[in-house]
Amino acid sequence: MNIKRFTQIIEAYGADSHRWPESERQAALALLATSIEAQQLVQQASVLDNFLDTVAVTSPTLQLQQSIFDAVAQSPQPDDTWQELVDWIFGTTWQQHLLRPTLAFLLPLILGIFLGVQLTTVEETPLTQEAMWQTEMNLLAFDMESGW
Amino acid sequence: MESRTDEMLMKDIQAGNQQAFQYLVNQNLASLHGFAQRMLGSNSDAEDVVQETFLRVWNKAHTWKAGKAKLSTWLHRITHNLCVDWQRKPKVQTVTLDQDVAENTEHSTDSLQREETAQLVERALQRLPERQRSAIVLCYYQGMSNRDAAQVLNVSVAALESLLARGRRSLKTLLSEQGLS
Repeated sequence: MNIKRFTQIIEAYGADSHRWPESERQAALALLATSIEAQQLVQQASVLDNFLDTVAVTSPTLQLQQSIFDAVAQSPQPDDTWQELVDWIFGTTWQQHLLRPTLAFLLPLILGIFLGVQLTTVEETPLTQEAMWQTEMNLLAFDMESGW
Repeated sequence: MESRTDEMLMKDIQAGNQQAFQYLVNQNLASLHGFAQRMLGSNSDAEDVVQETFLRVWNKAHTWKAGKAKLSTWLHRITHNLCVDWQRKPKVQTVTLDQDVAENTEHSTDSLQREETAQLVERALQRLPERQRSAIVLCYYQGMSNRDAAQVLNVSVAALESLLARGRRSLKTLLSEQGLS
């Protein structure tokens, strides 16, 4: 934290350290404790803060609260099945947006590799080799009988 | 009702649970009403905007996505956009905040002086460009972090700080013109 950045913070957020950016608050307070220039900046900013603090707002009435509840009671939520389907497929958080399509892409790939490996294994079983050998013997026997 | 996470609460509201919606209103009404009042300078306009905000929340609940923005940030963004739309609409009748307060408050001499100052500050706030006023109201009065306020206004944190600094400088100038400094 230097005095230039401290000045920017005070000019933007005012004199109250609770409003300063959280990530820079400790460093700014440390500078404030040792710098007279920083203390003067805070004092100047507190004048405007005091003026801003004079502006009060009225509290919401119970009638307002009730009229909101009444308006909602008369307004059924729109049916949004399409949106629900999209949310179910793609998720609702950015992690899900990334993970779900990736899984959807990888799943058929993994299934294809698995099936490919299984079929290759089936061709190499002794029973299949035996059947092929038998076929070859039958063909040879046919050759000899026909005299070709 | 026990405290709920944003996600749990919005899931219930998305499912049409009116009790969950009432909880949301109770938790956020005062804050959003104050925000709208400071943005518009009028209690009656603020009431209309806040009512419209909550109705939109109910009807568009499915558009809120967990992880994209905090619920309070999303609510402030809806209110902010409605306030901006409201200010651009042609006005039939304008009731200002200071008139509302003046009608509802009894004054001692000290409070009268404070009230006059408040009215001058309020008027100066209303004279600020809309983006600068929004930045000040969100950060100063609503107590939002710079990131959340920047998200409401759809700007970077650096741009927000620039809006805040320019807003405060303009306010100082306007107030010193009114004899406050």
